[in-house]
Amino acid sequence: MKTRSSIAALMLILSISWSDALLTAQEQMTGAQIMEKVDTRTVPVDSRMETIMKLIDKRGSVRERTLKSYRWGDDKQIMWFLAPADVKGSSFLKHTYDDRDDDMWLYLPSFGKVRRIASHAKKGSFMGSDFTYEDMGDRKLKDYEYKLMGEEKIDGKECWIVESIPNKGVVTDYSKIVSWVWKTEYMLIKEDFYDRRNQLKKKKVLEPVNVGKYWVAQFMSMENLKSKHKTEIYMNNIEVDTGLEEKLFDTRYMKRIHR
Amino acid sequence: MRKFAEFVIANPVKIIIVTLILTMGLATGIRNIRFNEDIKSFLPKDTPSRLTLNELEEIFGGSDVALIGIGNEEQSIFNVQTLKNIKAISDSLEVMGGVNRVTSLATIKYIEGHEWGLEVTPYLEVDPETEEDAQRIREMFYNDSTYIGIMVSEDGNYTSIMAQIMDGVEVKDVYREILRLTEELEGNDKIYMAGTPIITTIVSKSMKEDLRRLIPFVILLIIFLLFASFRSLIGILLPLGAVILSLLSMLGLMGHLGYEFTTFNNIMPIILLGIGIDYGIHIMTNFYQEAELLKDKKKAIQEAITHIFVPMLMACVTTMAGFMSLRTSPLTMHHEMAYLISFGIFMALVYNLTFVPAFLSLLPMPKSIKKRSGEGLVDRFLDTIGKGVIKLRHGIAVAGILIAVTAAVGIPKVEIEMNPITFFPKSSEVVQSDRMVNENLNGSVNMNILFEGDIQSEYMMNSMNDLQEYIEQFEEVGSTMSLATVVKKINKALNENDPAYDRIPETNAGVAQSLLMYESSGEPDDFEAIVDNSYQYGQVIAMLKSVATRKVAKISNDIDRYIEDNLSDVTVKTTGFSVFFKDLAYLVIQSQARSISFAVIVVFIIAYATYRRFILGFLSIIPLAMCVILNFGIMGYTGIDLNIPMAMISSMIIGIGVDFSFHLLSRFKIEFREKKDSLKAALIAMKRVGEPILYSAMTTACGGLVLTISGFVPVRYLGFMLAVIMMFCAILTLTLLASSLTYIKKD
Repeated sequence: MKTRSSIAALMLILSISWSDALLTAQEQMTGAQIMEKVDTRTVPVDSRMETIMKLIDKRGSVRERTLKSYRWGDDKQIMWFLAPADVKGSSFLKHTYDDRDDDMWLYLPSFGKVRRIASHAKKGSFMGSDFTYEDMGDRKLKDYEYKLMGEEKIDGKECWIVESIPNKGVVTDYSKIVSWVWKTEYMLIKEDFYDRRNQLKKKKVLEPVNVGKYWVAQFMSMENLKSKHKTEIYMNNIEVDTGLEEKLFDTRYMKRIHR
Repeated sequence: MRKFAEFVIANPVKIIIVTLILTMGLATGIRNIRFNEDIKSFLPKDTPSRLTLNELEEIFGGSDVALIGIGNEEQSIFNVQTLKNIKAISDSLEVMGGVNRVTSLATIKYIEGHEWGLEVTPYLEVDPETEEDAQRIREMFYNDSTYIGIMVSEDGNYTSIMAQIMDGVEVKDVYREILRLTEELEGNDKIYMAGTPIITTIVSKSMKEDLRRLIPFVILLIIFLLFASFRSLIGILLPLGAVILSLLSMLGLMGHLGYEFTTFNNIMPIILLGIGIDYGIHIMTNFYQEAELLKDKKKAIQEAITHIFVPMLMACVTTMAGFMSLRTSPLTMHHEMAYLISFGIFMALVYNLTFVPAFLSLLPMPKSIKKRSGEGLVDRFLDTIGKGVIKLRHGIAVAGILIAVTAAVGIPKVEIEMNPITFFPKSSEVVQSDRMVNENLNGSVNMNILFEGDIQSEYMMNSMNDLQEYIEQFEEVGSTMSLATVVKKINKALNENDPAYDRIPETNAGVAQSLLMYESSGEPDDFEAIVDNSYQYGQVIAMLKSVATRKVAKISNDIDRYIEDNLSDVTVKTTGFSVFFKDLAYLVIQSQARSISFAVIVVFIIAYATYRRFILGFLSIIPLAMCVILNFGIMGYTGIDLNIPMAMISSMIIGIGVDFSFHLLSRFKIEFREKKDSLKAALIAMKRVGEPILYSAMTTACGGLVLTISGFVPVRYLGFMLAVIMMFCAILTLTLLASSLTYIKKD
């Protein structure tokens, strides 16, 4: 009995030091560990930017929307529509939580009231784009099984390739997501989304830019291979750690475009 | 002629080998033959509705809708098993190649306004577990009355699943998949398949079966006729061989040219067999007669060919002319048919003048053949009739005019029918299915109205909404659907479900923001079927009950007029099966008018060129014109529809009937030149050619009657009408035409 427990203790010690060794040598991380790093990487305290969203259909026709967008860490986000004229003044607010579904609100000046967006709208489109809320990165870490598939260099950046398979019972459009994680910054720079038939359905691409001491996205695109529809999001005039107050990320501030 | 005959007799083996090799070479095309029943492909490519469809399919990815009705009469569909089945079928359809999108309880969404905001929920996102779940879905469904009587029947016992077929996909593959899918269902739900793409697929399948059934039957009939005429194996095998070779040639050419079998032309083989066998009977009869007379095989063949060559060529050319009249039709299908049948008939002539005599010259001299029994009877009968005709010639002329006028009055009563559902007997499963879906659920015939412009403007939304309200007034319309439908629902939901807001918001911003609200709750492809990404194109989808083409055409015309009067400042175009039925109906009428006039003119010209007398040219067309008038008159009075297969009957009547006129006229001319007395000449001509004309009419009528065993209702009627009219044609030729000839005074 005693011998056995000491063997167990030894094994435990060994395994801990073994995994420590793995962590030090980055290359040996597991998929889950990589994705956890991605989830917890350092982001600006707050940021503000002007966002241009282009909705492009298979025949190349473009619909454009311009938004003013503020972020509070990774958790809160508010954006006001500046153009086109018929939706100007509409705004969107989101609070993200680790342990429960996100809260989202929409304000429509023509209807006057702030409305909540149903919490189960995860599969819903983000402002009519090819991004669903799910695609915008609001995946809960615990909802997936991860597997490190290999490595690849994308645009000169060394990346891990991690496959995420949703756990049973998770509401999602996808059977599988393959992510390219930039090793240096633990940033997702490319993702492939597979539909229920396990066919590649959408492709997401992200371009990072260095602002201050952070790496943030300056361009994101999502292409739906089935509908041949594409959304491009350009982040302009990005400012970080500007001293925004957290109280600004509240439904009260949705009705007036912040200056 | 004589040289030709000599050549044939001198080189029989060579001729047989060359004919067989050439035929086999041509026949290789047969495996390329395809069956097509896609109604829209029948329309000329530049038809506006077809151009609009191309545009629409380019924008929305498809327009054909297959309808699946599911349920049973005992219980409401809102039970766990049925809901699970609906979900299972919808899910499988969604991932099925060839299906663009699925509309069913499992895919449509419930839009509900709450104090806190808007909720967009699929009715059936996950399988219901308990009967309580099923009841909850039921309550949700009945809260929103939009889909009652459309997606779910009034009694709640049936629901529909609509699958939009992808542009450019073979519907038959999708159909087969759906069948396989529905076979695996649990519980006692019944499946009803409907919708024009499904029906046309079944038509296409049935066409093959029909040919497989009809061709052997016709061949049996031919064998019987040949046996009755010649009582010898050779007398059966040679003409049959020749006509089968001509059939192989025609089908081979069809395959090589890439022409397809459709409901327009699938009785072509039967027609060819019926007409082609006549040539064989002629040549064999002549050969046997000459052989009896000359007691020398080679001379008999030579004489037979020499005698028969010109009359047979004439018969062939005039029949070809009758069918070539279809070349004037605006429908491409008719052109192909014109070429193919003409070619087949020509080949039948060629084989009978080469292959048959070549074979005869290799065979021993036939034993003397028995004269057909009852010929004396026919002679006496014709003699009596002939005398009667001469005696009553004035009366016959008056009676003829009266009959023509009476029949002509019936012509406007002819109903034109293009809906392929009418191809099937009322008791058939497909008709039952179609009726169930049309009576209890959404209609199964689509109409698509394409709008172009700033779709999400308040003005455009109201234009769409007004048009939909107009369309929904027709009792034959099941439902309409567009972006305006959705915007109205959102507006209502955003205004605390107040029914007063079940309308388009008053400003462009209101519309845009309603959509923004929905976009943030629904899925990006929710509007894919009704508006394009840039909101430049939108469509109203109206589902019509599967009703008579006349009604569909009226609704379609009324809608066009409404658009013209009320939406002149908006770019709007209509398409969809309901419009195709209307367009096709119009083209079929046009084809009739053109081909009949063309055929009549050509017959006149040929007759005039042959007999060099204006009056003979004119008289030759009288029985034909009468028959065409009679045909449509009878159709009008008895309620037989003019439909796709029936559209060729006038060409057949003229093509076959013209031989009767020419027979009589040729003989009359010879006799008249001799006797210088039109009365005597007419009587003799009538007696001489009466028997072959009656015989030929009877064989054609028998062929027509064979068609009445077809699986297709219109083909049955076509066969029936053909039988009736061909007998009429023979009788008219021998009475009306014969008595008219007596009015001719000088040579």
